[in-house]
Order: sequence, then C-alpha cells, then structure tokens
Amino acid sequence: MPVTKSVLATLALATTLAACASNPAPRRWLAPAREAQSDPYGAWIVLRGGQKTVLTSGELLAVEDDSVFVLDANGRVAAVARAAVPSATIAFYDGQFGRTAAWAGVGALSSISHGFGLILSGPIWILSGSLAARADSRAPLITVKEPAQWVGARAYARFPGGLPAGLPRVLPVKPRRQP
Amino acid sequence: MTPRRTWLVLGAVVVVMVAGCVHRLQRVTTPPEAAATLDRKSPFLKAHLRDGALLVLSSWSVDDTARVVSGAGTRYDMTRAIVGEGPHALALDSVVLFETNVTRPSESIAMMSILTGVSLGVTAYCAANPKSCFGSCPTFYVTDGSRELLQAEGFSASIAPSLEARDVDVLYRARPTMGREVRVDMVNEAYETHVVRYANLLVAPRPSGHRVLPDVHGAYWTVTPPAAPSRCTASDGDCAALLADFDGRERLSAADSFDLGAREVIDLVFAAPPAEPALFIASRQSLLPTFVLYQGFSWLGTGVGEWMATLERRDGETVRRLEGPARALGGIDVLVANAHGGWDSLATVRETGPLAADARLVPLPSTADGGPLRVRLRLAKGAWRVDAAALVSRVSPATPQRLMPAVVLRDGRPDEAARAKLMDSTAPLTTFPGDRYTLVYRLPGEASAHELFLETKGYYLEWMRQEWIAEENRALAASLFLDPAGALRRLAPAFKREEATIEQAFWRSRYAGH
Repeated sequence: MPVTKSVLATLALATTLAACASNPAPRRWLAPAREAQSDPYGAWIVLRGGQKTVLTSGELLAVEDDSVFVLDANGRVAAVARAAVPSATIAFYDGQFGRTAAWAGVGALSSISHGFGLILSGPIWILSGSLAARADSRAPLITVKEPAQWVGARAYARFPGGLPAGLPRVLPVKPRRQP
Repeated sequence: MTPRRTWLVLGAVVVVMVAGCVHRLQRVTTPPEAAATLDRKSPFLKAHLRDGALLVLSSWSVDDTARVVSGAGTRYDMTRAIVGEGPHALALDSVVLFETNVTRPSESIAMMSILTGVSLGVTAYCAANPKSCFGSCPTFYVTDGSRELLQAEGFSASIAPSLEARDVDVLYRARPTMGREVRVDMVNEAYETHVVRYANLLVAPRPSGHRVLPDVHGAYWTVTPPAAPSRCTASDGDCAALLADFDGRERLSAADSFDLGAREVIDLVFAAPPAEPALFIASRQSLLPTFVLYQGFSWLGTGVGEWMATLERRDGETVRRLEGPARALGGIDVLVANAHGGWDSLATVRETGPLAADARLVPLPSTADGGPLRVRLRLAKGAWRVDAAALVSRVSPATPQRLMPAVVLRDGRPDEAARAKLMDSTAPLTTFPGDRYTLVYRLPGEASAHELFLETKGYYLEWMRQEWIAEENRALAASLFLDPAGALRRLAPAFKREEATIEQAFWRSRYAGH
C-alpha cells in the first residue's frame, strides 16, 4: 500500500512540522543542551520593531536598563534602545526537535504494521508527535513582549551582569560548530 | 518478520536512540552573596567576572566560610579568547554573577517512549501473529437503546465473487429509539473491498410478549419468550444460566490441544416442553475458523490469486476442496434423544463469522408423553461461542416485509448515488477500508413493535498482505485442502500457542476505530 504509507508519512511530517516553532539562530550556531552548559557565549537574539520587522539579530551581549547590546554577524557591537523594541526572541540552545519529529514520523509509519489498529495508532502518533515536537521546538526559546521581561532576559547574555567597561566595538564572532 | 518490517523496526530503534538524546536546559543566575544556593547538579559553574571575563569550572566547589570558589576549568577574557586552563580559585567578591545550567531529558521523551513501547508491542504481536490482527467482513451497527452495538456481519462466508450469497441476520438486541425510523451503520473495518448488492431490512410485527425468529429452513415464526434449560451440562460444568437467553454472555471452551476438529457435546434437558417446541440457538464462530482460513491464505501466499481464479471458474473440485476445512470444523449439530437410547440428528447450525452472533430456531419433535425433552449440541471444541440454547414454543408462522433504505447517509449527508446502488442489484455498492454508511429505513409502524432482520447480499475480497506471502508453503496449503482433518491436527499446537491472547488481540486491533 504505497499510497497509504506515503500519505501517512506526509501527513505525519506536515502536521508535526506545522506545529513547531523554528529556531531563529543560524544553523550550527547554537549548541545542543548538554554542550550549551559550558558555552561561554551569549544566546542568539532577534530584536523586532513595529509590525514585527527585524531590527537586528546576533549574539546577546548584555541587557541594560535602557539598551540591548547585540554582536551582529559582522562582529560589530550594536546598541538598540529597549523602547524601540516591542518584542524579541531569544534562543539559547539547539532543541533538536527534528529528532523528535523524526521519531514521530517513524512511529506513524510503523503504525501501518498494526493492521486495522492503524486507524487509532496512526492519529495518536501524529498527534502525540506533533505535541512533543512542538514542545521541544519551543523549549529553547524565550520571548520578550513586555518591558519587565527584559530583566529575565539578562541571564541569556554573554555578560549577564552588564556590559563591562572597555569592551571593544568590534569583537570576534562565535565560531560555528563543526557539522 | 519480513525484511521490510525488520528495517522498519531497526529504523525505529535507531531513531529512538538518537532522539533519546534530546534534552532541555534550565539556566539560573545567582549573585555571589547567595552562592550557598547554587545548584550542585550543574556540571559546570560559570563565574562572570567584573571585567567581562568568564571562568567555566568543572568539579567546582564553593567555600562559603572562606568566600572562595574553586575548580578546574577554562578562563575566557571578554572577547572569549581562552586565557588560561587548569585549576582556578577566586574570591566571591570578584564575581558579578554565577550561572548554572542543568539539563534534563525532554518531557516529551517520556510520552514518546511509552507510545513507542506500546506501538512496538502491537507491531511485534502483529508480526508474530498476523492472522489475529486482521480480518473482517461488512459489519452492521444498530442501537440497543443506549449505544451502537455490532449486531450483524453480512455475507461472512462470501470471500470471492463466485461465493456471493444472501445472508439474513437477526437484529435481536436492536432497540430503535426514533419512532418509525431505524438506522443501521454499515462499516468496512478491514483491509478489504466489500461489494454490497443490497442491504435490506426485513420487518415483522411482534405481538406483545413474543418474538419473531427464523428457523434453519428459512421460515419465520412467532414464538414465546425463550425458556432456560432445566439442566445444561458440558465438559466445563453447568451452563444453564449462561445459555438461558441471547444476552451477550457466551460459552466458549478451549480448543483441543491435539486436534482442532475434536468435538465436544453440550447436553440440554427441558423439563416441560410445549406442544410445538423449538430450540432457540444464538451463536457465532470463535477465531479458530478465522485462524484456519488465514493460515490457508498464508500458505497459499502468492498463489492465492491463482487459487481464487480457479474458484471463479467454478471448478467443482476446487470448490469442494475449499469447503474441506470448513466441513472438518463443522457447525453446531443439534440432536434429540430417541426412544432407543440413541440420538437423532435434526439440523446443523452454521453462522459464519466471529464478530456478531446470530440466532436460529431448530424445530424439535414433541414428546409423546409430555415428558422431558433431551437435546444434545455437538460442536468442535473452541470453535463456537454459544450465547443462547433455550426453548421456545412456535405460536404461528410470520411473514416479514422487506424494506429498502429510504435514505443513505455518508458523513452525515445524503448519498443518493450509494442509495441508488443499494436499490439496483445490478450495480452494487463498493466500499473500502474506513467507509461508513448510515442506512435509514422507514417502518410501517413503531419500530419497537417489530422484529428486525438484516438481509444482505454481496461478497468481499481480502487484501493480500506481506505477512501472508512470507509464510508461503504450497505443500502445507495442499495438505489443508486435500487432508483437512490431518491439517487441523497439525495446526493445533500453533493455535494453542495463540489461543489465550488471540481474541483480545483481534478485537483490540480491529475495533480500534470505535
């Protein structure tokens, strides 16, 4: 039943991925959770202005009372006024939700071996896999939508205690992980 | 296990192992004055210093008294260039903030692990016992007043076009609640193609306190309510209460360990038989005949098509051989004690299919002196689920009226094309797995005052499955059809290995959609 299999696999994959939140960091920039425990760099941040337009993105260096400091992809330190940033998304590790999605996909495909039980186990796999992958995709993300939330965002900066004096305006960017 | 399924299971194991590495990270920052509260489970301690430098320490410890943090690790400057590695000790006062990071397995992993365990269990069971996880025929659901109840399976024995047959099922437990309207859900619940020539309702007025039932010859009778046997004895003891009425409580014995065709007897005594007695018997097959049928398919493997083609050509020898295993298993023979101490055979009740029980009357002779009536049932051990074996009195003949569906609904909307096909026997309705039609019948009077019977005609085609081809063995297939009695003996150990769980697995796998 190639049609059944392909339909099921496509449905599982589409449903699972549709429910997931994409990680805004560049590929191989963030480390998985275990490696992120000893990562000396800050998290990846995307600052959005009105209409959700992206103001800038890069490594979160520090959050001060009136400004957010970001190291952009070219190694330049940028200061953005917090008042100009209605929202921001911070990603502090690679949640690897693709693995959960793959697990759900293989599980949904395996339900073909359940005979008529496929009618129950197929949707259960798709639903559970979607929920699991959705949760794993969102776990590494912190969303800032209120001014008060910037306080909590400091923990994800390279300098959680504030920008040190004498920081050069140009810094080496974080090297990407090897594939 | 087929190579394809093996790869699927191996793939699943690899994915699960890889996905098992998915962790979540919890980060906490702590000021130095609260160093005593640092999470010791964190394998690394990050000490953010006032000059922007960072110490990442493993094997770390905090001496609250000396106000010193120490450990081995790496020191980075504010640009994150490494400026030192090895043991470090520094005063708490030089630290702006501590940072701990603790990982834990993703919560979703637990949920997915449980799901995977259950799923692999079902896969393993179905791989080992494919014949217990599949199989069906058109099923019909009618309300019993509180829920939709499986009340009939249509033309169960018609597994090929040449075996197309009419079937009548008693909807004994139907309790319609919609006045003159009766709704019957017709469902295709298996990997099969169902070709339905018609699905009519036969209705007969039911006098208060009576039932209307068909006998084994096709005649309908108005009868008195079933009376339980005065005595019912079988190998497993007293069965009088169990067989008193058609109520869903069934008697099923274990199959013989050495011969699936081995017979058992159930002896019934009715103390005060009426003038026109009849045995009211309700039964369905167990999964034993289904097991034998699918084992035949399995052994035929890729030869099933050739075999079915021969069947379609109505080759008399093939048809006779096809019936061999069914004959060896037999039906429920009904016998009555004669005056010479022996037993006279009256009829054999056969209702093919393991899903829904059906009922029939077997007219019994009147006893000359009005004394007790002794009836014996003879059947293959473990092959039949007997729901009722009771006595009724035939009051008068009855003639049911045939009703075609007034409306056919699919997904809640009228499907006139489907209805037209059910009305025209030259253009049957074809259904596929998952199809469900609601057939609406309008009765001449209150449905509750009528006895209902479902009359269906058609056939169905099993979809050949990979698991069956894997067991292809023409020699064993030949033995099943050439020497069915011998094959039933050889199959006994295989069936006994599955007997304890086959029913549970079958119903769980097949009725998952309900």
